[in-house]
Amino acid sequence: MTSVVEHEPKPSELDEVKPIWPRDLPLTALADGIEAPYGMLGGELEPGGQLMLDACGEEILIGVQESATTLRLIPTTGPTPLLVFTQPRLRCAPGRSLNVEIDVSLHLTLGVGGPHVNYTTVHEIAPPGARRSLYGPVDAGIICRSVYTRAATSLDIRDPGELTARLKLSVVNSSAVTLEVSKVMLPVDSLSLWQHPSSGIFAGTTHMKLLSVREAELRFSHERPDGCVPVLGMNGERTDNSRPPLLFTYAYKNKTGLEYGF
Amino acid sequence: MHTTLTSQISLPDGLITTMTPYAKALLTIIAGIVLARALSRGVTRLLGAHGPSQAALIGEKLAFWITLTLSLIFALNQIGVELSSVLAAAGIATVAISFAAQTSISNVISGIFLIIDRPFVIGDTVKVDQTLGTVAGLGLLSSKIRTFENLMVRVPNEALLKSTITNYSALAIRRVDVLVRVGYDTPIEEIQNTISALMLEHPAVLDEPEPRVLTDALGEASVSLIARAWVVREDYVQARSDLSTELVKRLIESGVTLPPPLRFSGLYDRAEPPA
Repeated sequence: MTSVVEHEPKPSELDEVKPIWPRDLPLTALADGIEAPYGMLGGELEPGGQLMLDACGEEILIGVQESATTLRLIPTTGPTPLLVFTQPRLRCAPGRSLNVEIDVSLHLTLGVGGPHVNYTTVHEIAPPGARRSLYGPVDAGIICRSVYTRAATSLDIRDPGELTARLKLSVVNSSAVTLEVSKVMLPVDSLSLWQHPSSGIFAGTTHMKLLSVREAELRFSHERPDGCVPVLGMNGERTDNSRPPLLFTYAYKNKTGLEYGF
Repeated sequence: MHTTLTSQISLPDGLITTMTPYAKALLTIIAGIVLARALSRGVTRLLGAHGPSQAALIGEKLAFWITLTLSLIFALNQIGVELSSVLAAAGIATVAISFAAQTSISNVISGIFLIIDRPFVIGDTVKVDQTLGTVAGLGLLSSKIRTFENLMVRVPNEALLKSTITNYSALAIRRVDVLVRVGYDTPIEEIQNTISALMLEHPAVLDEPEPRVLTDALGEASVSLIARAWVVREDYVQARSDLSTELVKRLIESGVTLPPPLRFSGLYDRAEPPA
């Protein structure tokens, strides 16, 4: 098993890149409405520490600290695992490997805070039309967010402000038969998000080793892509934590009569 | 001072000797009550943290009453009532009570079995025979189910143990089945695709397991189709209603014939039987 080597960027390296995220918006500026990735953000700070937030058409009254001055926007992968369906499906011959890029839509997490008060997450906006899927058998599966995405050797350049994370997927078939990957399950916190000022957000590399028809091992690389800095958490904390490899061993067909493998 | 008090409150020696066992018995009972309360609290804390809440409820009651009964027996022993005779009397009483309280004891034992079997926990949505609702509590003798009409139904534990229990809260997802009858002139495959697409448009319907539309039966005047979609448990009721409504609307818009149930009847002359 290959160990995951983490690359800690030096402070000087981080200073070279001017990050896009987090985006900080003064609460007072919300009155005029501000364009955000998934729609307009508006709001009004009411006396007594109450913020009437209009998040892409959804009105929410939020109790905030009176010293809070800023609405902070950060991209996240969301609260549920992701079930990625690639188009086309990926078919891998025995002993061969495939390397593709996919774009994974992200959530927009909103927090309220300021220079003298910690940021608190107050809302999360899912990508428009986000849908759910079950990964696993009907009696024990995990509810995931469905992500339908195109897979290609190299994808086009994106708008850096776009809320998608570009993920490199490396599939290695170590079994004796040709196998097809129709979906990839990415657990919560498995992806590390990095940002580049002109190329957008990246999510490292996911290595998928196909062991048999029913077994696959997933490893998540947390190496910093060239010229990128990490997308930090709401209060500037690092979110690119390493995660041990995961072994997926499901025999759906035996249990349910349905094809719900990887 | 001491001499003065003794001389003022002078009790006969015989009375003191007589009263001492009673005082001890009283103390034993008081200590028993305190101990029973402490034990029941401890059992609640222990079972509540590591087991189902109904086990904590029953455990609390059992711990209290067993400790109190034992302290009563010791108290009786203090005042000279022979333990063996108490136990013998208790044995006889147990037999008598068992006959009288057969149902109650059966309910208590059933309650214990329900805790071991755990067909549900407090807060689950269950259907017991014809009662559908949320489990509000599980007691020594009975369980309480709050129906969706907001009625509190008391179900004896024995009846509960004997009944078929359907637990709607045990699994995360549920399947919505919507039955549709279409005319024989309907292009079945086309309609199956239309219904599948419609179900996938609903935000609550899961992409996987994917919705399916199957031909269920060929009736006298219609083809029965069954549309199946999976939703998260909490979305079931609303999704079922939405899908049924949308499905009928979409089929009518598509010009699909939705034949009403037909019955053929005729009048015949008795002299001429129908061919």
